[in-house]
Amino acid sequence: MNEKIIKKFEEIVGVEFVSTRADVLLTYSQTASLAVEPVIPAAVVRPANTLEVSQILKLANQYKIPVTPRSGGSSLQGEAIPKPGGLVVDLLRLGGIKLYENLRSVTVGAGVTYGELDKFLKKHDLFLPVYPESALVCTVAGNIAVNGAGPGSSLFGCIGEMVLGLEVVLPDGSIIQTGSEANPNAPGPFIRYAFGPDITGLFIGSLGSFGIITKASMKTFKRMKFFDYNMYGFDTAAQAEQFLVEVKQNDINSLFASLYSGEVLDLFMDMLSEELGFPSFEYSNRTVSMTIGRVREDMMKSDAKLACEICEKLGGKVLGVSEMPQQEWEGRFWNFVRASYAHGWHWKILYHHQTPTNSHKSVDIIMEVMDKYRFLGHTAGFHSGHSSMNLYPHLYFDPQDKEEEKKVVEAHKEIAKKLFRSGAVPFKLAEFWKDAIEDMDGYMAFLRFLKNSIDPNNIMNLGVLGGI
Amino acid sequence: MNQDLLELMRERIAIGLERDKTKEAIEGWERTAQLTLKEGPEYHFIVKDNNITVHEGPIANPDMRILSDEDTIRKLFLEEMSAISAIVKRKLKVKGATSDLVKIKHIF
Amino acid sequence: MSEIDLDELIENLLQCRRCGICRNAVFEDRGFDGVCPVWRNSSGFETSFMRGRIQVALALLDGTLEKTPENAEALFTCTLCGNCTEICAAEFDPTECLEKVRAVLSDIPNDVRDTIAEKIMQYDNPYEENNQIKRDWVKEVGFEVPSTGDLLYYTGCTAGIRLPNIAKSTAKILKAAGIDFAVLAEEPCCGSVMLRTGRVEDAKKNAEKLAEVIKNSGAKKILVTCAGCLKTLRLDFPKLGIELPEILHVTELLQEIIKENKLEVTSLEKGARVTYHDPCHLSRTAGVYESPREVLKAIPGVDLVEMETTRETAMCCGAGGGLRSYDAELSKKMAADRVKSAIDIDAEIIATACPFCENNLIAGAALIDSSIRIVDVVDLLAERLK
Repeated sequence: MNEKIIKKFEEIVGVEFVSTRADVLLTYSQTASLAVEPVIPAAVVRPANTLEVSQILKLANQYKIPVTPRSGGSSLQGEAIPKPGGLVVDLLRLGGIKLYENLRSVTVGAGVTYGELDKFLKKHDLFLPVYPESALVCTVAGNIAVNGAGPGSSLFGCIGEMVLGLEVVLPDGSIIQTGSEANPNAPGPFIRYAFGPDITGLFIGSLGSFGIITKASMKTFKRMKFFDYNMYGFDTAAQAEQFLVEVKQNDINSLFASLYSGEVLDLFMDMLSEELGFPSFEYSNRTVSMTIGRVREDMMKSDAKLACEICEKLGGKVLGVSEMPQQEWEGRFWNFVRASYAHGWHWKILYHHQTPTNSHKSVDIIMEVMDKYRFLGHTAGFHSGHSSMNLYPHLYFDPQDKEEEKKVVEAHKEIAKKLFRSGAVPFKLAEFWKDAIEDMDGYMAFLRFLKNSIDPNNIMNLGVLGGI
Repeated sequence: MNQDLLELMRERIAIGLERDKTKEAIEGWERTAQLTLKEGPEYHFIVKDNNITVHEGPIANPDMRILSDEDTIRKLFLEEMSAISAIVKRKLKVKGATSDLVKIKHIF
Repeated sequence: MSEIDLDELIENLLQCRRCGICRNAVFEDRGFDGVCPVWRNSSGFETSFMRGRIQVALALLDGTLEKTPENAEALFTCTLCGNCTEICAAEFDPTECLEKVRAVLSDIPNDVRDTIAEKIMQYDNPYEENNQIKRDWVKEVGFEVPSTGDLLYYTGCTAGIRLPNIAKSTAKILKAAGIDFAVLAEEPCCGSVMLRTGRVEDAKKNAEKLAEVIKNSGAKKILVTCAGCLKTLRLDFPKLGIELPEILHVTELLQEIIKENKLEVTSLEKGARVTYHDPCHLSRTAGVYESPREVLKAIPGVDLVEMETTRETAMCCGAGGGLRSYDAELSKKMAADRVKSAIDIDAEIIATACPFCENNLIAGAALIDSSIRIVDVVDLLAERLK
């Protein structure tokens, strides 16, 4: 990058917060996304506030420098891999948490992680009830940019459902505020759909291609105190899937409901049951592990009773095992990460949303392709909203076996195509989906139109959002 | 030493084949696996005709590749260590189809 | 250390999935309020915490990054405090790996590392002082201290040369408890900093020398007041193939002495809010958390309060791993940050159990013009002995 431009960045953020060093650039060439080619950027900047972000983008736009926004660096599908000659904007310095207790909302800076926010809200007996499994690393703003999900999503949906408004710096450096806070006289964030169409929604899941989120205003909820943890075993996928539908239909407050096949449970129990304190039990063909959460005890008990009745009505068995769902919920900051790393393999992920009653299709497709290409992996899923399951296949490879990695990348493409054809939709419209999506020309053309309108110089995370 | 290991594996497989669970798992199943030890020796397993045999040397195009060391393989066959524990400690590396790994779990 | 298996080291380093938990995780249930104090107190680029360090290590090892002092900086701007290992979800020890990487890549020029090692080999201490002065404090205790005996008090370079009060206080306490002890006539350095910074061959030579001197002292038990000496003698020497008698940190012994009522301890003149800073090599590495706290609680008038991060998740003071020499400014900033944690809970005294921590915390307090008292546990106890 031109020395003069570097100097201008230094004038904006200070010399200390700009780097063009080879070692620093290397560390920004990749994220937690495995089996993704690293790309060395030309420079990294660490702005302190929205104004500095705005000045940076104005400059980048002027000189048509590709920009990759990045906060936690924990994304898994190549969402924050830089472009050659590009600039990485590291947003972790944008801190700050402001609570609006009576508005039931909170505003956080782009660098605030879920862990940090949860600790803060807990003091006020509140929580933001959707947690990515990377909550210790991931920032709220970054997670909004990818529209993440995790524990809590079974009841509350993806994180996008929790957003009341965003402060965004657009590619030309201008700053907009969405939601009720767009009104400078508003007492704070209290409603999202405030001024015409859902502009907030435009940036949720945009993977940083429409602008940089510098502040996010979120709904807060009273922290739940009453939980029921149980597991439900079924002989068939159909029974388990129907159970999930009826849990929703009957307003059972399932905070987190995961669906596992017997083999996957078997594998992970072997690995981690001792460490995490799970008892041994007989695995059914399909098992649902569910956490019910309520602010009132009577509601929790009523939900728990009804869940058991529905299970048995469908021919399933109430297993009475609480440890696993309890660890899934109470250990939501760390246990899943541990389970994903303990076995030693690297993996490429292909998460997507399916309907509960179609989730067996995903499992069949994934297993079939893994067998075809002959590599290891696993998949499971959790309820991620009104009528969706988030399935997260992990395709394993040995990090020292480049052939195996290549195989996994090929298989990944094939799985994506087959999943799309089965009716699944992307969980984050990452770049690889562009080859899997069919018969959506109109939609993709409109997305391209939006991109070109908002970012005419194409500087923001080019090629990441569905290849656009 | 290699002969000892080969004998041990054959002995333990013979014991295993007497178990109903093992017989059920390999019924009608045909697979090959190659075991390569860090120390150098290679072996291969053939699952065929409701039987499991183990032989010295490599095999062409195995369905599954296993990488380990002699001490770990001994412990596995003597059931002093579980396969998953060996995998977590990275003393056992397995490359192959997931459904095959699941099946092997039922065999051993 | 037996010869480092490079293949195994790389395999371990590749266990890093680049999740980033090692950066600034706030994990209240387990007591984490941030993880990496270097990231927190520097310009915060990826190279300033373990995720980036591992990427740099791998790149240097496979040639992607040229082996230059600048490119290797990330390997050395780390105190090896182990907080990242404490929270890492993968199946490997990042801290241990980084220390090994420093050894494997010791061919990359590093003046600071090499200068300290040369000083130790030449002077038997890293301070370039006449090593004899390490025993000068003995003249001030008012009684004879032999150089041979069953219990050997191994002073350590920082207490012996920079903070002799710690040594005098230790002597006073042992005397009051009726415990005989010896102090070496000529005490070599434990070599900790050489091990931490990758000068393993020199550390081994030094260790052999020290082992011989200890053997000749007739010691059946060794007492230390420095956490760095504790880790080195208790945990590292065996890996170098060197056997020593039992090594105890002074607080471990004091806990027993206090339980046996061997000391008469008077109250602080005025009650004080005292907080304890866990030295990394005493706590996370050696698992000693409660002994120092028990000693403090045995002093009437001490109101023991805990900082936001304590025990397994205590933030490092910034002194260790060679950082204090490599980047003194960063090291002191980290110390200042730790002092702020004590100020945040209205502590009047920071007690610790390592002279290197004490030294750095004092520097950190000075940086932020804080008058908080920073003192070793033994000093506080010795002051209150009848």
